[in-house]
Amino acid sequence: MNEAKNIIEINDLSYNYNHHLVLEGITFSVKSGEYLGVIGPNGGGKTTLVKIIVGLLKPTKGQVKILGQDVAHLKERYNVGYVSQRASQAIVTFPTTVEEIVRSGRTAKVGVFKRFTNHDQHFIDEAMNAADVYQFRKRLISSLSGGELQRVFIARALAGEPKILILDEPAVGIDIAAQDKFYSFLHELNGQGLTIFFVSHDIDIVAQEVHSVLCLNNRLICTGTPKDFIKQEYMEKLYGKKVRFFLHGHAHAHERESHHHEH
Amino acid sequence: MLEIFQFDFMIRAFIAGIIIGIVAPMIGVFLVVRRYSLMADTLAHVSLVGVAIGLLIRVNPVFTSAIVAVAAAMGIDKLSENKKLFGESVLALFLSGSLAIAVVIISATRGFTVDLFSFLFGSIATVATVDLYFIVPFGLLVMLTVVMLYKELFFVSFDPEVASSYGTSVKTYNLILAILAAVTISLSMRIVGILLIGALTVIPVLTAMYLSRSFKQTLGIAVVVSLFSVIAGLFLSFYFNLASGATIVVVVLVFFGLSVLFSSK
Repeated sequence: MNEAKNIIEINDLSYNYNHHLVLEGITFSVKSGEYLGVIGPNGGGKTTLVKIIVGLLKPTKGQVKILGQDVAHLKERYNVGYVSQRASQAIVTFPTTVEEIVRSGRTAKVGVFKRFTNHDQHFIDEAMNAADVYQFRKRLISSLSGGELQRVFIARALAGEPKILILDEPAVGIDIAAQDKFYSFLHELNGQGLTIFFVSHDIDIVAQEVHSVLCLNNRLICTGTPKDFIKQEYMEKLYGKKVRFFLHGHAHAHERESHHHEH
Repeated sequence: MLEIFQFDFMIRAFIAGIIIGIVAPMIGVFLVVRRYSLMADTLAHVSLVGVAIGLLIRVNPVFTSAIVAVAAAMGIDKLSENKKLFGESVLALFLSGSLAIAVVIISATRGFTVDLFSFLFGSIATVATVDLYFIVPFGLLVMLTVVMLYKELFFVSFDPEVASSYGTSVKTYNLILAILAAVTISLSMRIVGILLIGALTVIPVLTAMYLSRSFKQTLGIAVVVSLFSVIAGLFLSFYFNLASGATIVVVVLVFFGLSVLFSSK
């Protein structure tokens, strides 16, 4: 059997911002078909890492390769579908429909001075169907709930036929019921072969959802399966204080409770 | 034939008016959704510097104002990119600063008050044939550019971060939009006037936002409202001897009021 190809390869990556080391010596790779979660505290560099991978920030040191090409020279950038943290606070007053937003995700693939063809519309419709937003494609985005809007942004990312989907805190602002539906949708996409890389501060979600985990607190604290990372030593390195887990079928990190129990 | 069309200057005013009626909201829609509505007003004030220079050196002010406005648009774009200043502060800087420069040039030279007044408030009688040589081709060029780059301008306006991550250059499209806005302002000042062009760029779009069900529809409705307002405004200003720019803007305002009253949103 062929070994899966690396979609992302990061080697000795560092990033400084205003003389402050945000990321230091990060090395890891993501294989095709993987479902990987990045966990870590606020300020631990998760969003910076995502922005470097999607080409919005230039690393201070190190190498980032996407689909075998250096990220700075990556030509077909739409191969990396990106759902940003800002998506959850989208400008809902913008007078636009679901379909117009999803279609915009294919802009770069179609190319400048070219118009969307029936072939493009086919993929746009498929993306809307996959994200279950096709039935309200004509609605203005101002009429959507947080969960629906988030699915629209995923459909936009899918419209460019990406090889990997990168999501930064995708469930922020979505209610619990919608979150469950949202994560099963991500699972489904991964089941269809799409590589997924998502960032969350929610340990519970990461532990339940992903196949492998990166723990990030300016440095790479650990990599492995969700079971591996729920270890006291890693949690202390990540969150800087003692935490304890309550296993109710899934894991929780509960900092306030932990203080109470540890004393 | 209607009496109004027996006058050459009115035919020229209608040709220029129709071009402006289409172009102004086409640019305005992208400025409004990016919360850059004041951009049009700022560039209009900047173009007053160009008008003052044009009148001073006896070159067609439409040309000089276009050059000055494009240069200012590039300057605004560059300064806004620099995260040290808020975008709106940059606009305020150019708006009031350019007005001061224009007034200094005007007061130092004196003697062109009548011409200047027509540039400030618009006048249907002042559109010369030579102005049409500029307004028609550049107006068509602005329209063509927006049509050809529509999907990129939309993407960059709605979500610059994701657009940039997909390789769509936000800087380039911001600059293109700023230059298109500068050219549009220069085209429009003969008819609508420097002080009122911002209104024709923005109010039809605000009207459309109350009525539309999509971005494309917003653009379409804004163009229809603007075109109708320009044509109605030109008729009214001819028959009632009113200032063309102000009359056009009053008609647009009536549309805006009606859309607020009757919109279901």
